[in-house]
Amino acid sequence: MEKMVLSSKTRAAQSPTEKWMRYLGFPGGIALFLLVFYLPGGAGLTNAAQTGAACFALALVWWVTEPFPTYVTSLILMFLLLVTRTSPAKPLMDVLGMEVIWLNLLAFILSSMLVKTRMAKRMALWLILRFGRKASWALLAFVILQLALAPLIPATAARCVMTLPLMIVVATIYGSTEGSTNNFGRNLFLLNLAGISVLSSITMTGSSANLVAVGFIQSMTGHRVYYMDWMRLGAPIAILSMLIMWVIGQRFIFPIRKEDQVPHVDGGLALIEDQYKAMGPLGFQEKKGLVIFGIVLFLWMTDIFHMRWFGVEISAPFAALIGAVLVLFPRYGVLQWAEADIPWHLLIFSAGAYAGGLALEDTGAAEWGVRTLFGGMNLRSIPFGAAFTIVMAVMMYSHLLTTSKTVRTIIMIPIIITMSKALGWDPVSMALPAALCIDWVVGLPISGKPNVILFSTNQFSVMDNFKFGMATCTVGLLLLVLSAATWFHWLGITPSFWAMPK
Amino acid sequence: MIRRILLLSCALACTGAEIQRYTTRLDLALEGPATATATVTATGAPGESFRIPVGFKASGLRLVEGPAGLGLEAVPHAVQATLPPAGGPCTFTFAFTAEGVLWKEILRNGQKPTIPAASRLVRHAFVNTEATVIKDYAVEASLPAGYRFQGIKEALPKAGKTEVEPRVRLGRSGGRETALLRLEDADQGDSASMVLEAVPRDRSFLWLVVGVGLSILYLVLFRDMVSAKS
Repeated sequence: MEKMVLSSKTRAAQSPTEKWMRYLGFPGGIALFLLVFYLPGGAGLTNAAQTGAACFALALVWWVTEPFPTYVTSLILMFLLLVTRTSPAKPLMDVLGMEVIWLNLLAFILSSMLVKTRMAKRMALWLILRFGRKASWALLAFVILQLALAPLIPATAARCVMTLPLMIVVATIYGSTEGSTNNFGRNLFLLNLAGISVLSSITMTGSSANLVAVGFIQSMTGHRVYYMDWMRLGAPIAILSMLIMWVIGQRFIFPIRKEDQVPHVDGGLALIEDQYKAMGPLGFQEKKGLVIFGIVLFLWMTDIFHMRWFGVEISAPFAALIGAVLVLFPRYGVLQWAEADIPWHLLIFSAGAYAGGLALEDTGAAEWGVRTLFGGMNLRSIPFGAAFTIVMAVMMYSHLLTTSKTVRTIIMIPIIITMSKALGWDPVSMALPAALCIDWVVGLPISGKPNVILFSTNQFSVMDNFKFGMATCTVGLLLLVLSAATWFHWLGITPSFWAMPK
Repeated sequence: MIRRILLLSCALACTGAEIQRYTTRLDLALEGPATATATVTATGAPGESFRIPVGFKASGLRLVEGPAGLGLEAVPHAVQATLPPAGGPCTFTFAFTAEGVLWKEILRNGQKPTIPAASRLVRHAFVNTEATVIKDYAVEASLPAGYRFQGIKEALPKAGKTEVEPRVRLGRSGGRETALLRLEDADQGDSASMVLEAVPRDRSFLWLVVGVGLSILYLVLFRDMVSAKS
């Protein structure tokens, strides 16, 4: 239970299939690179965009099959982007200074503080004693925790870092450590990964990308989207999806063995209770840690008021930065620098992933792909329901090819609005449901900030993430389509499911 | 005061003519100047004269198509058009040769190259130097056969938040790669520009050789990963 550090070790291949995947992943990635690289260029596709797509495809195969550690693949990707002239050197180097990298770095300092002061252990023990007598209830407790935090803290990485130490301790209690993972650990981390992102779609203020989408809908259609308009569509789908994933995750995707259904502690829950009691009342260091975390949390939760209060907005990384300063403050702080568990390999992995994602966006490869995909389909000859399903599927799964929700929104939402107008549909009937998919970035460790952070725990593989993420997206897509056919229509958002274009 | 005088002089200089649409098609050649064909739709009083900014170092102006009575004359950096006496919207096409659109990087002594030797730069900068408002301005440059765009290096002004289309849109026409630069409602002084790099379409087979070589090497050196012993 004391083992809560983040590993930089390569995850060992566990099954013969995984070993073969690793072995063949290397030539497989190169084969895909060469295929995309030598394909005849499509109309409007630049050389750099095609090469960027080839490099990203190679990296994607290597990240999934892991012939190298993921961070080595990231470094190779950055070099490839340079030598293929997809990106100049400066933007590639600059990714290490991106806001997300800083947030990760600082958030891990705060996370180390929670571990060192034993706050994480205390909270995890409490959680287990209160809800975790059975694995499935422990998992549900985390879904409820993420649901409660989502409207309070818009920054997904912040929510992830807050709950990460709890996840690690609870996973350890149920026998899932980075050296020996089990399906409880996979369910726990991937359910949290999905919950953190998906539950951001409950409100239009859940992420800045949601607000960008609302801006597009208002400026391009003249339709004003109110807070409750968004929430009454987004909340049921997000919450229902998470509950469905809670059930099917532990039953079908990663079935939890009977022996993993209960805490793996010699002496059982009685010992956990003893440990919790032995911790006694809150110590001075814990109180200090709580105060520091409270300050950061307060800044994260009140970001919309900062401009009025301070004349400047203290963004999530800077709130974490001031927290890190307090944590590391000589004599009065909580941690020494050497005690901060910063996974540098993860930051390198993130940097490479972001460099690849940015290359796809900057060269126009992502936009070209979406336009070509929609342009190649004859949506004029099919009923609204079928067109809706296709558009939502593209929106939902397109997150696999981008690393920024905002950029994906900027590319997709105007195209969807323009296309809906051309087809004769009310653009809001497509654009608003499509905007609900923005936050569902759950397919790969590179798809979102929380994914990167949780991946560093070595509790799940890229393939595990892909399986769970695709299942989550598919559940969300089915619920969206079902909603469009029923109560979206009753609310006047969508036309009849079988209506044909005018 | 100076501002007022400038505004007054500008107002006096303004004519009633308006260019509704101004589209130039550039046929770029690897060596030598490009062939340009411009189609203009303008409105104004019968017999009214106005200037059409060209945006290129142009020569050899000739009228390709236009109504009877239309006057067209080359003046420095522009074309002077006189609308026919019949009045109403008038559409006409003129052609000219444009220099300096497709560039090869010329290095001075000791200067580091910024693009590969085989690359070319497509450059075009347009400023509405005349008083006539241009409602819809577009330039479409077609690359020589066998070339494609490496990327867009510059596209100005940046597309606004409500603009769905990018400033420069790439496409293909007649098997040749094209770049379309658009600007709407160009008042006097408004500008648009694009810089694109063009590269030969054929790709080097070195990547194939290196890729296959590395794959074979990996499969041999790492075969123990899937051997029975492991």
